[in-house]
Amino acid sequence: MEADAEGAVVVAAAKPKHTVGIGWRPQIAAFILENSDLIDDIEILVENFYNLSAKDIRTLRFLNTLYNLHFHSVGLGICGSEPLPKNELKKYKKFFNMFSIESWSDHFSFVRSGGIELGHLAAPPWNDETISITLKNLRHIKNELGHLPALENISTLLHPPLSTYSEIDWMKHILSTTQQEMLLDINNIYCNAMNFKMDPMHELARYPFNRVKQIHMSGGKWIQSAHTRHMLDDHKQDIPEIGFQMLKYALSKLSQPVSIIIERDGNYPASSVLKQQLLRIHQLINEKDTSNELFRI
Amino acid sequence: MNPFDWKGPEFLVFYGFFGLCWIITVRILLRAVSPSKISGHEMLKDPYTIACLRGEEPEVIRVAIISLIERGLLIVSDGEYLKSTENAKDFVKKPLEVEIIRSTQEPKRIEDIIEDSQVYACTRPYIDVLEAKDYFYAGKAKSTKNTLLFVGYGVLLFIPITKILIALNRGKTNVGFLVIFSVIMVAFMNFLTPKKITSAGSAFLDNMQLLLKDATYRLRNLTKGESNELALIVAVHGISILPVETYGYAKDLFARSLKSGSANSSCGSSCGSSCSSSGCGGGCGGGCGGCGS
Repeated sequence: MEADAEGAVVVAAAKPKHTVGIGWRPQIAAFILENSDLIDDIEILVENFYNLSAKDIRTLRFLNTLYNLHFHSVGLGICGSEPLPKNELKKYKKFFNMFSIESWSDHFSFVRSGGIELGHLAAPPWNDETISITLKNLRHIKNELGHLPALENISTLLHPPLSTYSEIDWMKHILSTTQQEMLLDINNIYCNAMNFKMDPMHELARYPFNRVKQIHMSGGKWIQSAHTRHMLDDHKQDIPEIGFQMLKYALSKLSQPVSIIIERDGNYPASSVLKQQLLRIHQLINEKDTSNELFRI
Repeated sequence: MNPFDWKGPEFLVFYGFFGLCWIITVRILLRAVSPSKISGHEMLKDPYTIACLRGEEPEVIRVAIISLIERGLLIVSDGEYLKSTENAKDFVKKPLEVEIIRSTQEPKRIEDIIEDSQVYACTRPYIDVLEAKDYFYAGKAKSTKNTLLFVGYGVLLFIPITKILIALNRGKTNVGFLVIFSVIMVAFMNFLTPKKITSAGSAFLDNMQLLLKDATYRLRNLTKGESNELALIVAVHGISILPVETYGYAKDLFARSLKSGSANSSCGSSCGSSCSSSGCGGGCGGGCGGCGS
């Protein structure tokens, strides 16, 4: 407690201790290891390891001695109308018997339809039917695995037909029913805002920050077709400046610690560029935000 | 049933069987008492210590040389000579790098740099770190290992020596095969005995090699001198990991230097001693790249 220039007493509120990480990709393993002082967390794509070969287990156990591990999956299709594949669930169960399920995340998406694996994350119609389907699937996952993943907002090029909710209201409905945590993907919000001609900051402000456990940062690119232009979150570009601005805003709204993870899936940049992105996130975390940090008595 | 009363061939079979069982037992005991706890976060920022773990002192110097070349502080001339660039000393802080820069004010071959006592002395801190972390045998772990080895070799030699003494006492002198066989047994035990690296050191290195198994992609795309990633990758895998199309000079440089006797001896010390114990074949093969050629 201290007095400011005008004699008013100010109390420093405990600032949440956020951590910074990056998705594990063998192509940038040397960068990750070499910059271990800037990296607290590593995000592991479960599907890359869930066969649990001896090498997989060794890799993860050793990584776990160096970093906090967060597990991210893409294969469940939690919002899909088709039953969750039993064999897949068994693999997840086996995996999470060995590694902590507490830090698991997946997506608000479906990944198969009509027996076909889509190969990407697709946005379901944002309506009551998909809410009940998602809740049913989540109950099934809870029964099978004993835990629910934090769920991540996804980007989509198309506004899902038959939607009756906005994306955020639809997600909020599910999250409040299950009391689940959320993985906030900043670039997905930005992409959707661009694709549906909305203000990204305004959209971001509507998210339930009290549920956010983890944040994803990445970069996407514009794709042009004959008459339209869409923003694709391909994870192959640098984080845009707007992404950092949105992160800054999100951080100002958070009262709980979160893990901020950079996702990069290709077109890997020079070490200095990746390092700069890590440093920028650290800088935003450590930035003095007096409006949030100090309460005047 | 007293084996010492058995005839030559029968006794050789007995000794062979007993000796192998004993060597395996000693190996298992050595592994059991070897420190095995891995804790390596701080070592990630220090590739030279990792190079030391893989190939001891000569390998630290080789990795430092590669790092200095890539940072533009050493220039390769005539394929096998190294010379520090003007003002290079202003860009280095680590004592080892400072000494290498000093040592190469005049063009020098790699093997001569490795044999420069002032350069070599600068590798000692890396050994100290590894000993402090129990990645190299030191202190109590070393004395436990030595005690086990003393008993191990003692038992292995006690049996043939006793048999030879009994035979000589009985007026028999045809003990040549047993002497040769005993030497082979001792050599085999020596081959299987960890020299410097402990189980923990070996596990750390194996795991680092696993994490960086796809490092070639990164090496092809690194911006020269921009980061320490190259040093880390080479420290973990050895010089042979460097893609020829990008780092052609390295292959020539080390292949030429390793042809000479002194280089071969340094290679012998780095590979022979650490790898025989750790099973880090991949790493040493790289570090000594060109040993066989």
